[in-house]
Amino acid sequence: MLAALLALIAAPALAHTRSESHSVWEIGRDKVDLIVTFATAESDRLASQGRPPDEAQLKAYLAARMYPLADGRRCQLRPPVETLSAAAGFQKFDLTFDCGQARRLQVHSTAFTDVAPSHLDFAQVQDARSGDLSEQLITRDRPTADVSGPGGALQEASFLDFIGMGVMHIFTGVDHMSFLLGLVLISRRLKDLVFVVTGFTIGHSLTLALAVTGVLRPHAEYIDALVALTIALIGAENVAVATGRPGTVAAAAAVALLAMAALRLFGIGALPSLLLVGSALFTANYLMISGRLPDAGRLRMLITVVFGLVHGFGFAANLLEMQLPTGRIAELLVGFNLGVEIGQMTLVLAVSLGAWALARLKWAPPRPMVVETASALLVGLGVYWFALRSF
Amino acid sequence: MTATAPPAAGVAWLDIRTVHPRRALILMGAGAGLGLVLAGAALFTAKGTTTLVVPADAVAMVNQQPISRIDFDGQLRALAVDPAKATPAMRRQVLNDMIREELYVQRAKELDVGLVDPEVRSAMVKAVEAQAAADAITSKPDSAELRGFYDKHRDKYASEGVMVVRDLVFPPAAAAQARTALAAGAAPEVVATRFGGRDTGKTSGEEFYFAARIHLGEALFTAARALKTGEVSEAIADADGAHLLVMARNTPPAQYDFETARAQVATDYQAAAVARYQGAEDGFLRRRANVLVAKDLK
Repeated sequence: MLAALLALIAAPALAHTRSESHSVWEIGRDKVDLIVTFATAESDRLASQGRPPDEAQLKAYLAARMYPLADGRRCQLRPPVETLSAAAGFQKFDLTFDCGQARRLQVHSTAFTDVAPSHLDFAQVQDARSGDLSEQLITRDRPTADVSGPGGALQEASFLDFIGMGVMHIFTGVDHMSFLLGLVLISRRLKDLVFVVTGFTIGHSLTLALAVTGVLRPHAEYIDALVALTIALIGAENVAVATGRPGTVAAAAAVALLAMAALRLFGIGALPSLLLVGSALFTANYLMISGRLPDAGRLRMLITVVFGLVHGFGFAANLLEMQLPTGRIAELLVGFNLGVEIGQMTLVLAVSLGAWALARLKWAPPRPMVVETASALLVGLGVYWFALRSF
Repeated sequence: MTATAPPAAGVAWLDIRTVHPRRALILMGAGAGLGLVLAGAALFTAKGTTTLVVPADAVAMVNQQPISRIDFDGQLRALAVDPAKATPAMRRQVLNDMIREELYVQRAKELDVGLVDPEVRSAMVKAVEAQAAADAITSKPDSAELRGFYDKHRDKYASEGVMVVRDLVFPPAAAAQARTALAAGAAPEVVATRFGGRDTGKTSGEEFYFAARIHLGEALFTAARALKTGEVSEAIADADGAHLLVMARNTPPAQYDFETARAQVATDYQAAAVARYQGAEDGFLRRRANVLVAKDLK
């Protein structure tokens, strides 16, 4: 970053092949001090009727577009905005903000992106309390960045926060929720439901731990596609069981996946051919077995372990986007898993109780209709996401 | 009906003419298992999958980018240390430096410094040029190829010619008489004074051919080159009058034989091959690129 700044200073004429600015955010106990530097040519972009903005206009422009957020709320600017001396060809301003004792701190900037959409702000964040430095790239597409100390906001989070994250992950993850509804749909008895949910939990707990600890982190985009495939598969399994014609469903699924594998050989699609061929083999055989077995409850527990393995990597991908709290990984894993479990059980129980209540009140539509409609929805959603994430 | 009837115990497992439900289920289970293994293998060996494993040919993995053992040993050797005898402290120091470098290179990629830093851009261009011409750079032409190149570019392998020449300009009407006087051995200053001429001052003393070409211009140089020592050229008409070239000394270039020029021929041969490859690379990159030029520069 310093090298980039040195390059800016050493060769100002070259700096403007890319519109950029440099900001230093110093985070104190209850205030944030921001020093922003940019080449004069950047402010010339803000010219109105051929006249570049004067100092007061520039200060107002920056104050309106660059600020920290404390627990999601914009920090109050402490006037005045000061002009600092800068090397020839550059302008430098100092802004101070009152942020109070916030747990979650973010920095935000939309400066210059309105006149130069590709503008980049190289943000250096210095924690005055710990002396730690971190860097962020702020762009039009990503104008806000988390900066809460080492380990990010999670470092300060409590065990309850970790549980809350797990719960929210289920309720805000439409794909995981769809899969769980598929499990509810296929389980005719409470015992079956317990089996599949347990299998799912075992699977996702294992891979979540593997990924968060760094032992194994598969390609995130492939995992996203496989999560979608599990949703389509659970829908297809419902159809296979309900219609008693697993052969047709299995053949259709296998042909579709093998066709994708063939397309990959021609350079179309993102998933590796071997992954698709393996998925086709597994899908066809599993659907056949599941459709033939009179009582597939226990088998499904085994299979949902496999599906859980895939979803666990998916859970981890979201967690890994955040800065993990150093020294608190075990606590995070236990809390997050517990939260996921609470979310899952709440969802499963709510749907089951709702279905039971409707049945008691005799308001429930016939089961075949529910199964067919919901399965079609799951297959449609799963295939849509799978295709979207595979090409 | 026979096909779906419950099979007899024992032999039915191996009787392929009879459908055995349990066997069919087990085979399907095996198929599903094989599918899982294949899919898992593809997933976990795909680029982008990360593990805690450091491959045998690497000394470290930095964000899954290996630092190769060969490079590590090379760095130790650069410090004049035999890798086998390097102390743990030295190895740690070199490894830390390499990890630091890798982190900075990765950060540079994130920041896309190649977009704005002229030195990085220049290094990138050179790297691609070198890669494009790798075959030419690493080839060692044989004597026949070099001799063929020498024969084709014979004029390049000669010493530089030297001349001492004066360029005088006269009114066109006096040029013939002035030439006669000069050819008879009269001093140029005397002839110039007598016939209303002057020295153009384009040349001064001994000059290499290439310098004389620049100073005189192509037409006068061609005429001067053909003169022998002591000769005077015919009048050469130009806008400022008629030029007469007086050659005091002309030492033409001497041709080097192949063996004398061999080292230079080898260098030129390689340079020509590199230029050919780079020209082809330019063409290739331009053909596949989508280059749009602003109207005012078309």
